[in-house]
Amino acid sequence: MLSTSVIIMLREVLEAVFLVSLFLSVSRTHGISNRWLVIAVPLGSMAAIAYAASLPLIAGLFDGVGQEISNALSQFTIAILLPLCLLGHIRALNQTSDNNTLLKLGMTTVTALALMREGGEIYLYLSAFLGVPEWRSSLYAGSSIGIGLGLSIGALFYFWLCSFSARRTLLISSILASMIAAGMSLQGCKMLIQADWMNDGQLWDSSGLLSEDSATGQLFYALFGYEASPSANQVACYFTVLLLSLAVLLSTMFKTSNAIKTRATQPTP
Amino acid sequence: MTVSRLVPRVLFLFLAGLANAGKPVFELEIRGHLFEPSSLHIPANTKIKLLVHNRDKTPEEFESYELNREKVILGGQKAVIFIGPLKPGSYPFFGEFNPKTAQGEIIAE
Repeated sequence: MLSTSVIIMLREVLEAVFLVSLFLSVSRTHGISNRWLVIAVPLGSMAAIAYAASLPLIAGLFDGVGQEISNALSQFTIAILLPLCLLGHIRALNQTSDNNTLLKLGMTTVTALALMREGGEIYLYLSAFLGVPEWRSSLYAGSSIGIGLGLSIGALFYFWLCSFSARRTLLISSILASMIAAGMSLQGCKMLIQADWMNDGQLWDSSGLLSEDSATGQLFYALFGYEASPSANQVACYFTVLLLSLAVLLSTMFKTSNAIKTRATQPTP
Repeated sequence: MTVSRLVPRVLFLFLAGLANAGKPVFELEIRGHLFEPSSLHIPANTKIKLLVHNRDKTPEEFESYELNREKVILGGQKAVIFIGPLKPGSYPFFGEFNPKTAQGEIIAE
């Protein structure tokens, strides 16, 4: 029970924590305040409890695949909003405007959605097994260790991202955000396949190279949605989202850096 | 509603109905944090509908890396999971909330 709790908590916490660390480090590059987090975390937590409580109702929708559809919906929403948030950050780096409301709204939504999904499962697991007296102490211990580990990894990730210059942090974050968004959409496709809304298949099997069961495999799953044996649909979706996001974000970075250079070379009036 | 708009809708519903019809149904039970049967035989290269009945009071998460499936099943509830078409072989699955005991495999043959 203890080791199981550690692994479950770690897996769930990691996915949400990577997103928050990413947002905090890019916000730092142009001095945007982190007050949106004060709204996002309670909002996400409440949404998690509401989601867990209404799971019997949700699960019964769409002929018994309501869970898959609601998961896919939140994953695809994050996949779209995440690159858009990075776009907002890239633009904000070069503007003097203080109005970042839309950007903060985007980050709040992504964080709340991620917390809703991960927190929902944590809440379900804890509320169910806390009711079993002989497992309570190992449940508390395991969960604390797992959550603590997840938060520590997130903190390490944040400090690593902050160790670069503002522009380099934005560049690395843009690439990472594109990979996370692509991973999210791959997982969304997995949900649709499970619901029989999309066809299954197996394009390759890389479990010999990197098993999903290993620690690295789990880390890659949390960060990039790694799948050892993806279907053709999943792979197509992954690369479409990845390339689209990279194209938009990198071209915007390039355009704004040119704009800075042009402004710098113009004589001041 | 004109005929030209009605026909595609009726056709879609008919095809959707056809698509759902004819999938073999298989059942699994979760009892005492164990999967019963622990070994499920299904036809290879066929999409099947798996019904998992959780007879325990606590939730379980049906998970399999090989099958690419994961679904939380609340206590006393049943879940629908579509699997396949699978090439012949053995595909292990487990219960994420009780991985040491809830283990099984799907054998496609």
